[in-house]
Amino acid sequence: MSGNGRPEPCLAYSSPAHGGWGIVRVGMLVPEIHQLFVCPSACGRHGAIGAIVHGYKDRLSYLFIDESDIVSGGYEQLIIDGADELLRSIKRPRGILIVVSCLDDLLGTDHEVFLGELRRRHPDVRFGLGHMNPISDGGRLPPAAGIQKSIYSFLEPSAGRLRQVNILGQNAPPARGDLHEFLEGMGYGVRVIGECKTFDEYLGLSFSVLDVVTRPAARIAAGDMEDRLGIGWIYAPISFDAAEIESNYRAIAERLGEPFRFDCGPWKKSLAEALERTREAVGGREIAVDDSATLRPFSLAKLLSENGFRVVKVCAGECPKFEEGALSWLREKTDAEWVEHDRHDAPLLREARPEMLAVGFECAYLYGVSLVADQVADEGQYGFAGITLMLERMRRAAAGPVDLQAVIRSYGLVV
Amino acid sequence: MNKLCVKLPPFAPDYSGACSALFELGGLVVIHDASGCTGNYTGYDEPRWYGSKSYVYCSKLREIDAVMGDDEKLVKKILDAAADLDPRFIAVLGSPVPMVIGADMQGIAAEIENRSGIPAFGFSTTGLDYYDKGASSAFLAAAGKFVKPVPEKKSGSMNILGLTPLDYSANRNASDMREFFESRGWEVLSAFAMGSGLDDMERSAGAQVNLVVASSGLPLARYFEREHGIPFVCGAPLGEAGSKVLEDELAGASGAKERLGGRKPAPGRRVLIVHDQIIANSIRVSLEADYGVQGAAAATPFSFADAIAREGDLNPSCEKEIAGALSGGFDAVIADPLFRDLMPEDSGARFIELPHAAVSSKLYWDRCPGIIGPRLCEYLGSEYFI
Repeated sequence: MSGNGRPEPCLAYSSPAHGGWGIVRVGMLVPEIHQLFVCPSACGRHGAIGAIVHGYKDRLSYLFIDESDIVSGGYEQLIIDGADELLRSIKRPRGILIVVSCLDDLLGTDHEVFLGELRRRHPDVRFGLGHMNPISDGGRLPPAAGIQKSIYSFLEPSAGRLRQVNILGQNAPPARGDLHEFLEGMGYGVRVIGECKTFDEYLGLSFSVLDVVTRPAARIAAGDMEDRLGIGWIYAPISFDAAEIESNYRAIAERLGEPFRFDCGPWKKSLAEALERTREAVGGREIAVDDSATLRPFSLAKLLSENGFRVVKVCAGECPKFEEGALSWLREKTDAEWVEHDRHDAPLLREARPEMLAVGFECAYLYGVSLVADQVADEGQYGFAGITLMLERMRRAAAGPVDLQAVIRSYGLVV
Repeated sequence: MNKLCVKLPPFAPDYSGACSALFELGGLVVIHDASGCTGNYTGYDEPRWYGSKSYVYCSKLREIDAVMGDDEKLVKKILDAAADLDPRFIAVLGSPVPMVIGADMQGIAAEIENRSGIPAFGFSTTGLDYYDKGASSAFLAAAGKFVKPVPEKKSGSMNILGLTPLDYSANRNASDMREFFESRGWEVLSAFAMGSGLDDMERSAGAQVNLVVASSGLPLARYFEREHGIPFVCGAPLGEAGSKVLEDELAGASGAKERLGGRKPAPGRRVLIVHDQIIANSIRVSLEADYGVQGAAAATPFSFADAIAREGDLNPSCEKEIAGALSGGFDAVIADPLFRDLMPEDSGARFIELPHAAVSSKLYWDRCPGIIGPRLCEYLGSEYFI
């Protein structure tokens, strides 16, 4: 593999394929709550338009702040009054997630001042706090981790425990498959926030015995749930490696205090068959993968390369620590190129490679690809079934071209 | 102003307007923000972004940089990029965080210009104002930097001021507008800022007259009038007979002239037009000239100049006031589709959609109609207005 990633910080390029779920959409995973963003008007534009695209704008409002609110010291009171007025304007929600922006990070706000008062005034409504503060990216609680913490913050300690396990970290639930067979085989139900239809169903997550964290962004949320709700957790990340998947299951069983009896054999066989079918469908076509499709594009590239696919580009803004092993393997074994799609020279890197197949929108845009696997943010991923789903998306991509611009638009990426 | 906004999305902010004004000019444009502000512009306010090679970037501002006031990091990133990209100019724009920490955007730009030798602008955009303010600042800065004095005016020439996709979309309107005037014998020296480059702007001081087609161009028109003695007319060639009214005014323009002011509304069927003020005014002229409609009111939540307003025109400043305007008992409303949600259920008014990208972003910008010349009438149809 070529391409090292430049150590110098540089200006960031946002291609038309940039984005993902965004803070608003993740927050909406909590059913029957309303989000109130408290921010300068500009900060809300992308989330609001995204909310209209995804059909939940009726659960999203804004309280605009300006310079005078910041310097006058009346910020907290403004939020209290704004939330009061909001509650007079909409159907009473089960909860309100008050989301503050980058500015709040610089103001040193005591959030309990307004949260406490609002809870006193509206005891039938739960109030939570969220942050849309990309200024904190790279810090202790980046926004992706912060919103994961926020969406579980409405949960309260349960009176007891049920034989069920929460899956944390993925906004779209994992595809039904080996994960479910593994847990249900031991008598545990699988609970995912994205499958909760009502607020009461959501509250049921606090009865679980364990949180399985599949992406790093949810680790802090899991720690918070352990502290507040007494639910233990284990980090068992999404993987494109069969041995790691099996090892994850073994660790989860151990954490649950159950003997490990799950047979991965049939799932491995079915994955091998899916790889074979996909290889036939894709043929010797060049493949690009990127970090909009998965948090682990280097691992995905490794899996595909190991199985006879011709991966030529891995487009990723960075190589996180947990991907360094896969990067080393690719460097040693392949001539694929690591391309940083968000650097200032990215517009110069665009080239037309229409014959390529892309897994992810970023690389599809960069190379003008029309054979596109619509895999976004690890949606549906986990275990062998997740990889099989991803391969199915690749076969669909190989079947015929799509209008990339239309696909990106209909997905409704949010920054 | 009521600060609560329940139904509408926030409108396009000032930095989007500034970026939009500079988009086609070959510069390196940097929004000093963490990521969301740049994403707002590239993802939601710039229909030309897909497939373009324009250099618009995010500075990736982080908390530690903000707290420490570390402008050198920003300057270095920009200089590195400029070395690779060789831009015609550099623009650095503020956002909410630079506003709060008091970042000196003009000072940063001066430092960049000093060290790179490339013309640079700094804009104190904040994310608190709307797109038209930002576009105005960018137009003024570009003109101040690049427009060259000329010894004499070129007869029969004009500039078009205030042209951005946030008002006119990225469809055929910009080219139709140029074609409209060229086919009538005008030479369009420059259109600020669609379909023209810096070289066109450099010679724009030679125009006989300026046409301001959206409010974002009004401060620039006043600048041209003051610095280069160019008179201006406010209005866009919309509608068949409506365009003719504008043509006559253009031909007769000799001094500063802000048309469409001072007349009182006549009674009659009432129409509310919500858009940029100058576009709404121009649609009103078409309704009068093409359809004989009297009593139309123009409303805009954006820049509002009394000099070009008529009695009864409105400048609502928040969602509540916009809803109030829409509840004014009009027979018809011409407005962005998102405003329909604010109409009272029993209003009975006919709602004619006219997508406005600064309001509804990508939701409808593919459905923005061609409105130049007779196309507006084709779009509006004749049923209601005859």
